[in-house]
Amino acid sequence: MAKKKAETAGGEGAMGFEEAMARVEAIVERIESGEVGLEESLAEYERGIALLKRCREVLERAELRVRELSADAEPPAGRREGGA
Amino acid sequence: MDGSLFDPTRMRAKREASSRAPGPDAGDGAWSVSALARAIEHALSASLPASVRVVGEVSNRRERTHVYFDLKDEGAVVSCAMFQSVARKHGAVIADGRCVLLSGRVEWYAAGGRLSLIVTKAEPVGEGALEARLRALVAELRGLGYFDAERKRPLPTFPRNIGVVTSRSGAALQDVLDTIRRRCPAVGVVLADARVQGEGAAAEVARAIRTLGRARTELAIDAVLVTRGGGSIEDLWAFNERVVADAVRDCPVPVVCAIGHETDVTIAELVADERAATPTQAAMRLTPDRVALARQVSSERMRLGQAILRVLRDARHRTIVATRGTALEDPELLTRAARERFDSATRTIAWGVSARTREAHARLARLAARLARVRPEAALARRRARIDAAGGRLARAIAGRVDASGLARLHDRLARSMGVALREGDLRLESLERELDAVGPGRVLARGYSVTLDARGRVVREVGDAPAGSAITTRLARGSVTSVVQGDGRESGTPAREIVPSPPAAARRRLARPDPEQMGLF
Repeated sequence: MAKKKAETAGGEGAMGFEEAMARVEAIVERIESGEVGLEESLAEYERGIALLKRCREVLERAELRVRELSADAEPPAGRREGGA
Repeated sequence: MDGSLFDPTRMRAKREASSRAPGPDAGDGAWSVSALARAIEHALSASLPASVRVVGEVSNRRERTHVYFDLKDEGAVVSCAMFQSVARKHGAVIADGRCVLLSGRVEWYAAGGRLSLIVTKAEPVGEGALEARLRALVAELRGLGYFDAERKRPLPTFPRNIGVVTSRSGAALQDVLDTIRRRCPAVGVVLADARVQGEGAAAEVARAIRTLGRARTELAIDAVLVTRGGGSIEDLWAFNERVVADAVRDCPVPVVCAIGHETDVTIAELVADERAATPTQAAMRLTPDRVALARQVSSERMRLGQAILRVLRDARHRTIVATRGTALEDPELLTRAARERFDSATRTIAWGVSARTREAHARLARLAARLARVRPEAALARRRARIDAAGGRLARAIAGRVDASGLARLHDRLARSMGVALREGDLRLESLERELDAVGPGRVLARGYSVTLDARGRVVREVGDAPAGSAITTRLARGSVTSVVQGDGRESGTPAREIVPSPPAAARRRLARPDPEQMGLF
């Protein structure tokens, strides 16, 4: 429970659902504005799809992660081994 | 024996002592210890009422099976004992330093040579004092701006992790975990265990809040939830302490507090960015509704698909408009560049997308396989969780059919509505993908257009790109042909026919008229 590193905390590029959705929003607006060219639009589209896929994966996660932090001033238990 | 003659108690004690109470041994007038102890017991029972009420301050509380403590004032100390059955009801009131009103009887314990007050009831005294202290602190903190509305921060709509400060063994924690699990398990929980009542609780709670605040970056904590279940004003007192108020105010992420019942308001709740009535409600405030979010994701996918489709249509439309305007002159020459740029761009992207997708899938599969080999415990944990869940369901089903079926129905509905939202998105996405395919490069080639590349694989756009004698490759809908350029045809006055193989006759005929199939796309 206490250990389970990378993918739990900042593993997803440290990007949360909200931020990913905000980026998709920005991508849609950029494409809709017509300011960017065809090729760039397609590249942006691809990025947007990847972000949305990740958002969906987040929502479909079924298991609740519960970690416990020791209340002393030390860095949280279970996050030290393995190193970054 | 003057005035004392008229004191009935003294008279009775005297009488009893002389008649039934043990006296000194006949010989030298010395008492045995037992005889003295019995005499003391007699004296006590004769001169004290069966039940007394005493006010004093608790000190030196210690607990074995029963609760033992001292009751004191400035001049005296009395040992007290509260038996287990009584302690279950009144034990919480006995805390060092607290002023209490005790009811009980005085007993002499001969074997231990001790005199104790056997407590049958304990009530706190001076609640008014506690409340006065609370009021004073509230006034002080208000003056310092701790409760100001401008200080309140908005809560994140989808926290990555919620830091929870509560007792590991409390019911409040279970309520919080159940709520998050039900609404959105993607939100993680980082528990900072703290005692939530009794001496030292305030310091532990404050330290837990600060520890979570410090770990917010490393553990991706976007909000903190401080909570405990209901209790007396003394039980909740830790949350009225200045240290907790300071920790909540200093917390770098928004804090939600739910302490006690709805009617109890503690200082921690006043300082918090938001207050909730119960642990469950607090968890709900911090956890998004995943069904709603799934819908949001689907609609964003739709918007994205429509945006890119519009871009592709525009590009094609420009090609066609150009073709129409100059069809009598030389359609290919005037539209070729635009068409080719469009085709090559879409083709490059389409190939790139699918290649990258395949590549990503393969990498994912390889990683997953490696992960499974490296961490069999992950698979075990999953299986265990599934067994646990099945066990839990079974237990619930057995425990109460009515309750269980209601819960199960709710759960099914939740799962279904989410599934529907996701499936809808999939269907709409599929139709979008079909549309994208329809305007893609494959269709253009199929209608008889072709793309010509030079020896280095670059698209030939103008005469200068293919000097006489150079080899060019022409990509057709199926296969390709390679040819050598004989000349640029400029001297003959007919523009560059040789460079690019013309579309087949059928395609050329189609170009001259508006293409019904193309029109249909718009």
